[in-house]
Formats: sequence, C-alpha cells, structure tokens
Amino acid sequence: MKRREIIKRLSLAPLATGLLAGAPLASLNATPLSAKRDLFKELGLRTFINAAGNYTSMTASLMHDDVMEAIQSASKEYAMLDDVHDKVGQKIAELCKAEAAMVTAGCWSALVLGTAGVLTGMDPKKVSQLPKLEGTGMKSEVIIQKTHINGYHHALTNTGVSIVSVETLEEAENAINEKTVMLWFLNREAPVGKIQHQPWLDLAKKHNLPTMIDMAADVPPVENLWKYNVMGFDLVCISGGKAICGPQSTGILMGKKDLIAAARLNGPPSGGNIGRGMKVNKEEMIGMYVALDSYIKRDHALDWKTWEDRIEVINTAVKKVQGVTTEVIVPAVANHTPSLEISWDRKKVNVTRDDFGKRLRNGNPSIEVIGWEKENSIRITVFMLKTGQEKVVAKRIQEELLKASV
Amino acid sequence: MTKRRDILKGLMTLPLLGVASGEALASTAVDKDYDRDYFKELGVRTFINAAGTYTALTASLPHPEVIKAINYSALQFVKLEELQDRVGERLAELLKCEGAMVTSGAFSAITLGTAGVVTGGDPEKADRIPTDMTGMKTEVIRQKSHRVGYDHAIRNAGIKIIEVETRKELEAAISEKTAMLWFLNYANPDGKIKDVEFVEIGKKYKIPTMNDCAADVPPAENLWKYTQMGFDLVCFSGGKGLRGPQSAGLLLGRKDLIQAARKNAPPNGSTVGRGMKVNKEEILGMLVAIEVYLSRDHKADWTLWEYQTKMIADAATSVAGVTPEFHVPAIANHVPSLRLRWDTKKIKITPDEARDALRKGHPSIETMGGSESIDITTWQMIPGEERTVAKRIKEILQQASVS
Repeated sequence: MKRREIIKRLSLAPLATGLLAGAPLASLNATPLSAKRDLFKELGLRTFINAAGNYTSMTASLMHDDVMEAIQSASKEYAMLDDVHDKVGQKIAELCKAEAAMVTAGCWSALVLGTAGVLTGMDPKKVSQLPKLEGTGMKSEVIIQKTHINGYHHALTNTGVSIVSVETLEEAENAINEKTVMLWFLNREAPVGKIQHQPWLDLAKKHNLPTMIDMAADVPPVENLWKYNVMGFDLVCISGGKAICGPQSTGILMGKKDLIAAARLNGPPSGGNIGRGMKVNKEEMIGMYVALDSYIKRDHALDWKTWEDRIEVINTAVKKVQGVTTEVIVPAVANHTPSLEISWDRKKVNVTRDDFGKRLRNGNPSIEVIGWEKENSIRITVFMLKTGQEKVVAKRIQEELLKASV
Repeated sequence: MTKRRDILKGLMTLPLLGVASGEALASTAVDKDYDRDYFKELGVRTFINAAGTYTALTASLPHPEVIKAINYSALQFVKLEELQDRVGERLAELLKCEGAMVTSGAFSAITLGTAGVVTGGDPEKADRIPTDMTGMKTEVIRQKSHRVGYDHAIRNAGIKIIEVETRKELEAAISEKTAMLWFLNYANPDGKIKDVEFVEIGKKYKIPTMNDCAADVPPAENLWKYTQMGFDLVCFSGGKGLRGPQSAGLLLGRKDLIQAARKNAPPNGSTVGRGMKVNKEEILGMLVAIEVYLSRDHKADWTLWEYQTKMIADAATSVAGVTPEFHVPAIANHVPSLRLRWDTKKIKITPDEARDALRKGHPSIETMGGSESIDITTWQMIPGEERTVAKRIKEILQQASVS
C-alpha cells in the first residue's frame, strides 16, 4: 500500500465522525493528494548528474532516505522549537565531542550566530543592538590571517564587526587590543597561512580571547567533526548539506556551552535579532541530526574505496582518447575526496574547456563537472554520484572527447 | 515502513475511537508510518496546537502535499538559481505580481528586500552591507505605531530607522538618504497614515514601499491585495496560515527589486543574506503550499473553525462560571478565536494554572492567553483534536469547581 493511499483512507475516518457530530463536510482537511507530479519537469528545470561536488549553486548534495523519513516524521507533530534545539543540540554535541551544539541555517549562519553570541553574551539589550556596535560597549574587531580572508569572512561582518588582517604571529599579537572580539581561523586555508591551528589557539588562550574555526566543507575525514573541538577551538562551524548529506539549508555551530547559549539568543524563535532571518525548522533540525549520526556510522574506508573504483572506471575510459592526460587529485583540506583532472592537448582534441562543459551539460543525461579551473581541462568528483552513474559519466566524457578528436 | 495489517487495524479502530471517546483521530495516524519516533527518542514533548501559528511552537504542520514535494525534490540535483527563477515566475503568476522569491521566512524577506533596494543588485555594494554603506541610502522611514521587534530585519541591512507619526512628518523626513518606506500591515488601523496613502506618498517621492504581511493570510486575497495596491515589495511568512515549510517565506513585488534582492541571497556568497539559506526542498515545498492554499475551500475552512471553536466553548461553558468570548482579529491571524474567562470564586484555578495543566496533561495541549484568560484557535489543529481539547478543558475546570 502506498503512502498516498494510506493518507486517503485515514482521512475517511474523521469524515465519518465528523458527520455524526454535525461538522461540515468539505472542511475536513481532506484536500485530495494530487496524482504523482514531476515538479521539475512542470517547471522546465534541468536535473543533472553531479560530477562536480558540493556546490551551493548546484544544491550541493542529496539527502539519504533515513534523513527524508526523519523530515517526514517530524512534519507530523508540533513541538516547541527550543525543545528540539535543546535535544538535537545535546545529541550532536555528544557525537562531535563538544560541550554544546546547535543546528543553524547553513555554515554561514553558524558563523554569524557564533560571532553574535561572542559579542552579546546573554545580554538581550546587546542582542537588540546588532549590527550597530558603536556606542554600545560591545567589542568590534575580529583578527584574521590575511590568507584566510576569502569572502566567507563577510559572515562575521554581518554582525557589524570589522576585520583586522594579520600575517605573522607577532602581528597578530600586536593587533590584540580591548576591542578584539575573537580570533578567527578558516580551516581550508590552513596550508597557506603562516600561523597554524595550535599557535593560533595558544595566542588566544594567552590573551583570554575566544577562537572560531570555519570548516564548512572539511569532512571527510570524519574525524574533523571532533578534531577541532578537542583541539580547543571555542566555536566550530560546519556545513550540514555537503558531504554529511543533511538538509542543504543547514549547518552546525558547536563549542562552548555559554557561547552556544548566547548564539541561540541571536536566532529564532527569538524575534528582533541579527539571526531571525536564518530560520531552521524542526524538520531540518531532526534531519540534520539523523544525517550526522548516519554519516559518522558509515564505513568510511569502504566509501573511499568506492570513490577510487569510480575514478578508475572514468579514468580508464577517457585515457584511451589520444591526447588526453589524467591525474588523480585529492584536495588536502575541503572536499577531501579523490577527484580526476582530465586535460587534453588542443592539437589533438579541439574543444575549449567551456564548450566541453556545455556539451556535457546539454547532453542526455545532463552532467555537471568542475569546468572553471584550468584551460583545456576539467575536473570531476565522484562522491556525489549515485551508484552506477560513474559509467554514464565515463561514457559521455569519452564520447565528447572522441567527437572533438582531430 | 508500516505493515499492511497495522494499517487495517488502525482503520478499523479509528472511527470507533472517535465516536466512543472523542479522542483525537488524525493524530492516531501519526506515528505508524515511520520506523522511528524521533521526538520520543529525543525526549521532546509533542502537543496539540490550540494556540496558533507561533514560531516558538513550530507554527503550522506542512500540508501532506508539501511534504510530498519535499520528498520529490530531494531525489535530484538542480541549479538553485534556475529553481528560484522558475518557481518565482510561477509564484508571481499565481499571486498576480511581477516577481517573487522564496526566502528563509518573512524576516529574511524583509532584510533581502531592503538589501535589494539599497544595493540595486550591485554585488560590490552587496559585499559591503552592513558595515560600509558608502554610496548607498541608509534610512528607512516607518510610522511610530508600526514599531515592532521585526523591524530589526531592516537594521540588519545596515539601515537606520526614522520614526514619524503624521504625513507631514513623513514628507519632512524624506531626504536623499531615504531608501524605503516600511509598513507593518497589521498596524494599519493604529497608524495615522493608512496603507493606500502610504503607497501614494511612496509613488509621489519615487521611494519604494514595503509591506510586512507576515501572518496576514487568511484572507487569501491578501496575497495579491497589497502588491496590487502599489506596494513595491510585500513580505509573507510561508509556514503560518499558508502551511508551507516553517523556515520559508515569500518576497513579492517589483521584478527589478526581486532580482536585486536575490543578489543578496544564496547561492551568492559574501552578502547579508547568505546565512538565510533555503534549499530546493523548501523552495518547491513553498510553491506547492501556495497551490494547495489557493485551491482550498476557504469558506468551508472558516465554517470548520467556527464549529470547532463553538464545540470547545460549549464544553467549557457547561461548567458553571465560565464565559466565552468569540472574536476574530481584524488583521494577522484573522481566524475565529475563543477567549475563555471564568469566575475564580466558582472555579478555583487561575488561567495560568489551567494553561499549565493543559500543557502537562495527556495529550499535551498548548494554548495562549495571559493571567485573565485562556485563548484558543483551532485552525492549526489536526481535525478531530478539538474534541480532545474540549474534553480536557472541561475536565480541568470541573475539577476546580467549588460546587
């Protein structure tokens, strides 16, 4: 029996009693469930195989069945939003070895709410004043390494703070003053920064300042979920809808209990604050928890092996084309999964990178790849593919390379 | 998943239960479709919502069709921008306006709309909100009587709010810094400048006007009334009367301003709105919620709410000393509402205590009201739950009766 039929039948039950009790007929919430609809098709939207990865503009990842079931189940009953926050937060904190945690409307939202929490503490007056800091007695400067300033720091300035850019440890220490809110670290830029995690933390501890780390797309490895909590960062921000495959509109803020409590004051269900527009519903919170729990329990070694096998399938197919060279690349931090760079000699395969991307996009099925990094080259990831799609991707890329062969 | 025999068993017992004991029917159907009961696992109290569409109470339950759309949407990748394009077009058509977008709630719609107005969609400007407003207008004018915590949404875009009371004051406050005129729909009766005149002033000075209608459906017509009246931007909550995802809202209005607002929202990074994320599931869910809402028999809904409200009032007033008051808020949560007061000499329980008893009873019931009354709406109940509410209220009042 399908779900639709069950609901249809159940809706008959209130109808019967309604009649007896004299309730009007048409009013019994028995809006008929419409026949199966293909909404993307109705709207003329292109769906595609995602061989690119966790990009927000590409809707990042697909949720697993258990997450969808959790969302459906949570949609059937009312609960106090703060109760769900409390309990889901406790579970996530346990899973990630943090003192406390909360589900946010994405990693960016975690950055905003976390910063706001540091600024306001538990003071409702300060909460109501953000993003205006002048004349409020709140601190106003966040220190960041120059190499870590790449756009996401704007989440911090959403709260009204200004950014102080430093390069060396000495500069960082000199920059600290009574206006300093916290020290911020962007995990994915760690390899290019002059100051690594531990010295950054040590400096903050020395001056009794909070630290926040942004690790939006930095699982796998799964251990990163607790690594930075254990290392001593006061606040850790992560995206929920990337490799963890939670709802795309969610993220997690975790860390010190008092700071998470303060961050929550700056978001819904409270009204006048900086974060009220960053709404997360109970379905997303529970979906996030279930996704995280399932992600941690996965056989990560097996996942990795699967990805390597998929890369091999595609590599084997495309390498055969004259003038094509490939390289397996595993980014050190952020989107740390096997990817395949496919490059071609324009004398032998006469197509530009942009045209090649278009041909894959406009083919059937449509395929999205990373087509913006190098000339005469594309890169693909396989961790967002559904089982078997690697064969389609291999075939289509090989076809298009052959078509363009001189 | 549910086994066939469980369903059959459920079907056989449901009508009986309803007739015999007045138990809530539809809620009996809740848990059985799912392998796990997450609320129970987490120790989260669930309840019958006799209060209304309050955010803290998770506001409304999404229509089954909305959940179906969410499930459907989860199966495929699409481009987020293309989805907003198409859904925006469809919403604009359904809601008789130029442009539309799905936002992360009504508050988010206010911030994004404001940011759209002040940036004109220029990404360089979007990148500087709210800390460096150079080259952008920085003031929004609103009436003093329209002051509300939600106007923080405007300030989040780096804006200062200028308060006025009269038309004369408003016109005097307009300067080259004026970005927008903001209106809080439910405060319309309280303000000296009413909606039509407010729009007229905006047009006269060529300053965009925004109307916050967060909880102002029903009536359904409000979905197009204010854009047609001439407001350049109108904001609605998606998860209240519309019963879309609780974390969704709508920004409706002028096409150019909607486009500009979108430049301040995901997937665009480095913006004031990037933290206000809506996913493809919420976007499609919101569209379907609008379709379902518009196709409803609103008259029949109203009759049901009146019937339910009366049933609860009848049960309560069967206890000596109880006075019911039926009322319908003029704007915002415009639905049949019930206020129960009683003579505390005859019934020895305060409204606060009674509300707490309802909350702690089984099943748990949430109501509103202060120290003088218990306030109830039935529109966000699962039909059938009104019987349980009626029964519990009667029980609690009866137990406290002196006679």
